[in-house]
Amino acid sequence: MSGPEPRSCLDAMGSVHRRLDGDPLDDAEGRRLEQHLAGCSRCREADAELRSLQTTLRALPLGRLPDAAVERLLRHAARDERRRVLRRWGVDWRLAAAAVVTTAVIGIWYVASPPAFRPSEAELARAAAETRAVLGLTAQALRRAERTATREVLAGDVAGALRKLPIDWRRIRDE
Amino acid sequence: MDLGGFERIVMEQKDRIFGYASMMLRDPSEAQDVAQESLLRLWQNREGVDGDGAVPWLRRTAHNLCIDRLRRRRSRPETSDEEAVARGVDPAAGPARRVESGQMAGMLQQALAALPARDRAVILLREVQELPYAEIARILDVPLGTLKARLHRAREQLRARLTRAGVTP
Repeated sequence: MSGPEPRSCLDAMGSVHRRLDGDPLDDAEGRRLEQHLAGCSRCREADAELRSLQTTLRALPLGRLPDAAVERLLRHAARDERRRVLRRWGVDWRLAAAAVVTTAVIGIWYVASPPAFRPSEAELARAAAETRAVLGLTAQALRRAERTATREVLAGDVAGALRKLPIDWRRIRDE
Repeated sequence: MDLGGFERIVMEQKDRIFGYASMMLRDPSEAQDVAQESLLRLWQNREGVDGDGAVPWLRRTAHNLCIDRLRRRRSRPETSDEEAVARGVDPAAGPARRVESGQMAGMLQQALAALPARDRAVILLREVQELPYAEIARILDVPLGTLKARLHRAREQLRARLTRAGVTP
């Protein structure tokens, strides 16, 4: 017998699906499939329907995530990033602030002092006390800023998280 | 991943993720939650997700979130496939007919909704989202051979459901 062998419907449908998958059929398989489809109306119909189904599926509209949801998400990420940067800089800033204040105090003391001047023990003690006072005030201001930032972060995150919990807070409060 | 990279991924993937979740869950409100949550998780895990892996990671997360939600609502009675498909069919139109493309899309979505979740997922990822097989296999955590067998079965099921509902694809 010459030419390709006739194929069973099961085999032919396997080739139909492989073709839909985008897998290339070799020449012999392609010829056998075409020969089977030419003689089998059921498989021919199935092939046409499956191809049409694939085209329709690929054209299905995906829908659109509402803009408000996207904006909320991007705002959250941007805010989160700002906080991260601030937190990172917060540590460096404290060290830098302490170094600047110390250098400034020492610098002013040197500039203001006459070359032959030798400070007494009492003057050195007072300078040290003043330096400590300045550093103390700086640290206090930094702690206050950190507390405020922490309160804001917790208020934003915890309130948002609590809102997502399926808890009826009003009922709990009333009880 | 920096903020700019994240914003790019959000703009590129938001509708695809939302579309996938919508068709998986059949509930736009839940789909919105899934899309937002998966994108948010990507942002929160940005240190551990490299540039090329970010989008596959996002898709896998969205798929897993959909599956979690479907499991949670398992107690809710599912609509039967014929009922679901029939909602979009004009009963006076008679059996096996060709329909307008817009109407066909609606019926197809209903037929998709009636498929089991794992078959629906494979059809959506391959035929609707047109993702490569290797990525789908990773998302669904199945070998390539299993994935293709599942895809062939799902296509046939979908065609059969449409035919039973009197619609010729």
